[in-house]
Amino acid sequence: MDDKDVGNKYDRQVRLWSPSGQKCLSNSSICLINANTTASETLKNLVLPGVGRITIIDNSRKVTPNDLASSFFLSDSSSDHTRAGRLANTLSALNPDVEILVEQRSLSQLLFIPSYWSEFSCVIVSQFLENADHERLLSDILWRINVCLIEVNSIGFYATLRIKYREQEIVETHDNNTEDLRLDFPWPELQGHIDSINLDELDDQSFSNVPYSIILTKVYQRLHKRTGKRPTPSAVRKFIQSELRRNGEETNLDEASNRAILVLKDSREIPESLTRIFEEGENNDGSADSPFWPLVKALYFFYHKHGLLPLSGVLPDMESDTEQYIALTKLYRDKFEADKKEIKEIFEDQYGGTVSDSYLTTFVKNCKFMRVHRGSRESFKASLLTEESENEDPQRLSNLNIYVGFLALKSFYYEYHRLPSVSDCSELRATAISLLCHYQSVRNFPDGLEKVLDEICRARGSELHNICALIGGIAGQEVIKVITNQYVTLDNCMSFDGIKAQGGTWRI
Amino acid sequence: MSNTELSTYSILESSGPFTDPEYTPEFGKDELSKAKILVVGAGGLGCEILKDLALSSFTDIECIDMDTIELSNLNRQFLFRESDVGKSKAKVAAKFVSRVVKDVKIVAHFNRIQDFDTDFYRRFTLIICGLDNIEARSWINKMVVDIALHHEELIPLIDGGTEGFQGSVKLMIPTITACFECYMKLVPKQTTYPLCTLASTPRLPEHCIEWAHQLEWPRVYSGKKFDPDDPEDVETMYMMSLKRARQFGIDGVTKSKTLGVVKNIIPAIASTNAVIAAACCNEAFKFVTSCNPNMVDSMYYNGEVGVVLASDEYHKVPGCPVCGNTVEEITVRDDITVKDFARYIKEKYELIEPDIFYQEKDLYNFKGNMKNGERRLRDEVAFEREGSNWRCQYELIAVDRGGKQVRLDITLEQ
Ligand SMILES: [Zn+2]
Repeated sequence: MDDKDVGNKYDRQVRLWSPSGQKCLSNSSICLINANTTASETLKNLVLPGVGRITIIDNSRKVTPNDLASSFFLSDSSSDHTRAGRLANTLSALNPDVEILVEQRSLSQLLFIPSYWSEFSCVIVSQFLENADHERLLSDILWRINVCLIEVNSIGFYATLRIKYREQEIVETHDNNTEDLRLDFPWPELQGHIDSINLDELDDQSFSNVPYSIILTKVYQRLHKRTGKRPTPSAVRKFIQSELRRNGEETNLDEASNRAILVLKDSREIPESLTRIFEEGENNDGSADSPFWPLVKALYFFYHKHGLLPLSGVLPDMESDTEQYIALTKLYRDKFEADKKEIKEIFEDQYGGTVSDSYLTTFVKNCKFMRVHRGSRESFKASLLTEESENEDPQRLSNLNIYVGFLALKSFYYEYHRLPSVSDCSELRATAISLLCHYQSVRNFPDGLEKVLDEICRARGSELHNICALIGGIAGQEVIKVITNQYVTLDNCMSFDGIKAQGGTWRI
Repeated sequence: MSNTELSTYSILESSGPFTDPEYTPEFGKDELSKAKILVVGAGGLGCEILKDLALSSFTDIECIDMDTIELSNLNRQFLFRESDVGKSKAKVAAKFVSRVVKDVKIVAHFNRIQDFDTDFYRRFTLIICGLDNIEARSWINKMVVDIALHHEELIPLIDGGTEGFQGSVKLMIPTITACFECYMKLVPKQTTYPLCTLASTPRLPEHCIEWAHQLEWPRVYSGKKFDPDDPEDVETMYMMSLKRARQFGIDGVTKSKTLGVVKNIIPAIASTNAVIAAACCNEAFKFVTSCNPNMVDSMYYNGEVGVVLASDEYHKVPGCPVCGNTVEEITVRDDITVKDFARYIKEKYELIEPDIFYQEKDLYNFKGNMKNGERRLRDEVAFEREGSNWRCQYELIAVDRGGKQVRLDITLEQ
């Protein structure tokens, strides 16, 4: 965090996504289609943290009593009678840094201007578009230019959120496991440092200040020499207790014992997500404006050559004295810098690219936990229902039923141009059946779907404010993750059950 | 029919497939209009909660908050503007919501929660807490449990909490379900740094900052309290910490970090508050109207990796110092010694060196040298026959060093 932001109105959030994330936010441009309650709750969570610009497309719809009943930001004090106009007014007051525009043209006009959409970082559709053609056209356009589309819906106690994003490369996943001690593969400088410390010669005071990573590496190496195998945590703990303990007060030994499990961590292993990125990287030349894919290739070259990833350089706090700990920090930082330099050289020699130092630093530090998401445009995947029915997790099936319920609701809306009421239960069921037949997945109606459809009809097409606010919170958060390209975006759909307070997520 | 009634009333108008069969629309609407809700805290969560309640057709709301508005609140506390900085959060929030939602009446209290007595809290149907400090939440928890114990009135407490992308909601029915204190064993202890690390062997920027905060400031400015809201004080503290860090070759002391450490700042964003507040109010709405069942005990939310949103059961902790005023029935072997019995109780209820007594008489304590440790329990306390077993004639009480208390009803079996 830059010190110029200290104590300003973004202080509490910049601590989560740093000034670089905040800059992404303030440079972003968001488009929102359909200004209902869920939409206004979503936008509130984007205006407050300070996105750059918001464009609202609402086809000049007027404020209805239903809107007033559930939305805080459509209050009837202003003279503007369009939903979009009112929403822009009230939201602007929340944060003067954000520019809010009302699009006068209708969606059907804009769908014929593909270039219109390229300025947006993210497009949110709340509730349903007028018809299936609009839905298809919009998703085609955004898919082609790789702009993220988020569809968010709420009715009664239920809500869904679907992300359609062709591809996203996330480097800053903020994974909690970036610490990399290399107990099993110390590099020569670290080994030299470890060898220079002779535990037997140290007086009690200095002994109790040896950082636990050094203790663990020494124990690891001694046990490994004896057995020729990677030692078990219990063997490590036993060794510490019987061969190293002096007076029982050494807190560094307590730390080492408590973290003995770290000896099982094989530094050569990489997560499956990274294996897949490497595989993909072989054939992906990426785009000219991002060094991501060429860097993946350089990283793969590095990994292939050394059998290890570059060191993250992140060191946890350890019981020690200043001198020993700082010496260790320096070793880890130097190794990180050396690995980073090597990646840079591979990158420049073989791929002839240029990359900023800050991007490179972030890339190397986080490379182990990077994610690449490949989205889809499909609304549904037939195998999901079969999988969940066999899974025998009633809550997951119930959440999937809610998602299917909303698909049925959408079909109903496209057909009748209204939302179902209590008297429409049988029509909605029929819609659901034909939908499921379309996906050829189901021999019989999934357990519990009927109840979900009845609960949907019970709402008589109305939005409950709490459920709108909740799914609007999640939608806002996902937009922020997409724009900052930090943390891990939902991949790629979810439903929320407000009766049981349970969410379920799937990949379609 | 007023505006906000439209959306909530269409749900209340009929039963759904999950609704209690006893439910009637009249009941739901009537309970909703009678309900009196207390919102504790008008900060990030509180602003959302007040809005959500008002738009859920609750009309009678009171709100307590002792804080005033700061600039760094504005990224999420959407009822406040820059011109409100310095004013009472409770008052500004209440006024704002009442102005937007016509039917709602919100009474604001610019007070500490401790300013009010039992009779004040007894007036409410339900209490929602949106606070960030544990002490205040524990205090409210104890209040509703005491009301349940001494007045036999159950006031449900819904507690919301957030930190960064994570949050939780607890639905607590005093004496019936786990109380806030019961959950406390899940809360990680706050990190504190040993004084000798601060004084002589710092390793982290945090150590340098805490050194300046805890040791150097009081030494240099004895008598002048550090004010984290005074930019000059913050600057001085930062320079002190930085100097210390340079002296020891430690990197990473920034002004932002200095402020974070000395104010114990928890990162906060609008979206997480929105999710957690809405979940709290959704449970409040269901509880009051009975239009759908409530979730099980607690809900957990994490938005760092995808979206994790799950509710789960949580059981009462026997011997909870606040709500554990029930008697535990346990059965032990009839030849158990007093010492083994004491150890068994200690482990079963996770007590720290408890004293065990009955009728004011000591049975066993871990510190003193009780001579009866090796004797059989049945020879030390009176038991009477019950079928083929023996039942203790007295209720035994175990109290540990932390004040945690367990009441025991003991049966001996062969
Ligand atoms: Zn309790």
